[in-house]
Amino acid sequence: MTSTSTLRLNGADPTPSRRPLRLGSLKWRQATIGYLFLVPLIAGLLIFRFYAFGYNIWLSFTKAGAFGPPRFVGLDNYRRLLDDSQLVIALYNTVKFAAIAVPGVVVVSLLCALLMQYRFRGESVFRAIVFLPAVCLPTAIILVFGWLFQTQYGLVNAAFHSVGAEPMSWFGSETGVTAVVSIIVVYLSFSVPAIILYAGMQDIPSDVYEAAMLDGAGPVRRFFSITLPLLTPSLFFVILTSTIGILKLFDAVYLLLPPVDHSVSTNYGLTLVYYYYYLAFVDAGQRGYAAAVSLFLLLLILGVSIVLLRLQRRFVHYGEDG
Amino acid sequence: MFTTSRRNIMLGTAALAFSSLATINSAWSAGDVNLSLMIWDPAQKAGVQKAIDAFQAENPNIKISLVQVPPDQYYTKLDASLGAGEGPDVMWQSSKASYYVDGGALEPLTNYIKNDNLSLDAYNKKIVDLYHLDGEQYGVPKDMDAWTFVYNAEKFKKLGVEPPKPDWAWDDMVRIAKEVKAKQTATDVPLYYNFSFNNGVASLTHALGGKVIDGNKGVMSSAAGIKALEMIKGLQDDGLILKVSDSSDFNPVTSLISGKLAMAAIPSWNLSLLSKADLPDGTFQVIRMPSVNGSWTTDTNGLVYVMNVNSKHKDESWKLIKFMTSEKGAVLHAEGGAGLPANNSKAALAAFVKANEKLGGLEAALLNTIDKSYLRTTTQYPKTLTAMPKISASVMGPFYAGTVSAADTAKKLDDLLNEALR
Repeated sequence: MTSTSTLRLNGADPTPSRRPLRLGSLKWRQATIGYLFLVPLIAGLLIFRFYAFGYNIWLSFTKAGAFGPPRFVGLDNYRRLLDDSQLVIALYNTVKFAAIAVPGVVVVSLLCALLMQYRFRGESVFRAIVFLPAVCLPTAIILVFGWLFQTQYGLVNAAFHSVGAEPMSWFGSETGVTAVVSIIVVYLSFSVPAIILYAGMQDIPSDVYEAAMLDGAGPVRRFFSITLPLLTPSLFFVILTSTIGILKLFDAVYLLLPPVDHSVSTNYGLTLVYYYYYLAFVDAGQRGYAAAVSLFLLLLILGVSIVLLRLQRRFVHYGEDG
Repeated sequence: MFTTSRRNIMLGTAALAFSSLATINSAWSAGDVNLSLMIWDPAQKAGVQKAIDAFQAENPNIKISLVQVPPDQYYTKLDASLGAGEGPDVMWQSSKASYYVDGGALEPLTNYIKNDNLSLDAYNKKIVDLYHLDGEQYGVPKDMDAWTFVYNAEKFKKLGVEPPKPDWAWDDMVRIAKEVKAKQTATDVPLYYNFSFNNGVASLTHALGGKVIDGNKGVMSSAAGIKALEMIKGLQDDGLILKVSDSSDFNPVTSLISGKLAMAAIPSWNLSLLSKADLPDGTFQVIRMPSVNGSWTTDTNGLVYVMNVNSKHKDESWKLIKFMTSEKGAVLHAEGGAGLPANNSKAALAAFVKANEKLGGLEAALLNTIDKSYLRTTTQYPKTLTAMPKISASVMGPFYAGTVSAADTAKKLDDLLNEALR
């Protein structure tokens, strides 16, 4: 208040001058060039995001195939959502994979971030291994895992066999599919969170640790009483982004249980995005209903995000400033 | 002087480039037409290319660009391109053709057929009729399916088990599979019988004298339908085929080649994979499916060449379709080894058999099968396509797992078929 009054008394205007741009002036030309640079981005956003999103909403009220104009059917597709047993299976699997894989990603990335704090022999190799899944093609990784877990010739079952254990039908049972998909998802998703958590750990002041050590706190106590609470902003970000990513799971289940095979195991891995893809691009004349399924997924992600943001207020510590 | 020389060189180069362009342009404007042809089966690419080469030799002004799209992406790419009013000039179509006809994406071929006096009697009638929609003919058949049984003769010799005979029956199959099982290592598989509803179960139902759909209603709850379900589950419960839950990543073709599997029901589109395996001639012997109560049958489907309604070169596209499905085109395609010709010509069948001559008994097995086939459920009733994933995962899975009886499974199958047919 004081500073503003002082400025006013001195005759200086605190707000920048808002003179209208004169056509052809240097500022006008600079502004035009600036906006021209923005055109590709804005056009992309308008066409591929906003128009596509709006069109998808319109499509969800129609019966549409690949050709011909969509036919308006009102709320039929939304009514069908309430009575679709495959959607229930897809929802169950999606939530199941998120419930298993998100904690998996958090625990693995936290462990890796902790290990990266220490200096040891082979630390650069370890860091490279941690970051490897982020730079490898996910499709290649998924196919390699598919071969590893192959029932007849897979290395995992060969290892089981060599120690006298019964080989397992990894893709023929719900437990098998859940285990393989969760392992793949965790492996594909932990690298970037590990780097984020490692960066978060660097922000924790060392004097806090020193004070705790002087008070006799051991490494475990320091981790649970200092590292974990002060890391909650990064942890929250990791949990939120991992949850949204895993709720949109598609590639792993699609490659392991391709739709052309009509496998008896498809129901063990059917996720909401896979179901959407099947309806929109494999099945015929179901694009309208597929759009409704995609909007259902949007609401699910929105709901989960709101819950997580609410929980943030209780569990996330942003320090004294925050 | 130097400047002049450089200018001359530049002018000379420009003139040369311009004259080259003019030459190319004059050749182009002389009437060259570029057509695109889209297919999905990698195994058939060689045969299709062979036929294309012959077509181009006969029609030097038409250039064909062959695009083979992976099977699981074929319809996705086709939908995207046709939906945008583009897409290939000529393409393959299968059971989904009616959706493309409804969407106005395909050019009716009736007038072209009439104008050129093309006789459709030259093709398998069942396949021709499939693509006669709304009073128009939309496709000319290129190939058809037939399921035969293949056994690894070397394996039978090694095990000391007498192999199946060409006139075998279901009980023979069960007996032989049990003998193989008793003599081979525990991790090997005696038999592969297609356990899917759309192929194995439906075929056996037809062989038992029943039907899957009658009067536009599912009739799997008949005695034949329930019996077929029980018979195939019996193979699993006796350990003669792999447990269905363990079969999602089991490949009968590679298992036959590796010797892990003794005998298997194999569709015609996979026979070339066996004949191209690096194994001595005669390792694989082909016989018809085993009979039940003296009869046997297998499901069939047929692919056709169709024309894009938006093709800019419809006359040339028709020329290509006519050639590819002619006796000459069918023979050249069959020489590639994959795709049993739908052209009734003896030469086409002979070319297919010759291309797969490493498979003993193939011709007799095919001749015993082709006439006995019936149209696959999803082929005759395309609406049932949407029900198949649910049938496989939600009905057949629990049935083979033993949690649902055959009678209840048949009832669920009828319910899902009826829902799809509505």
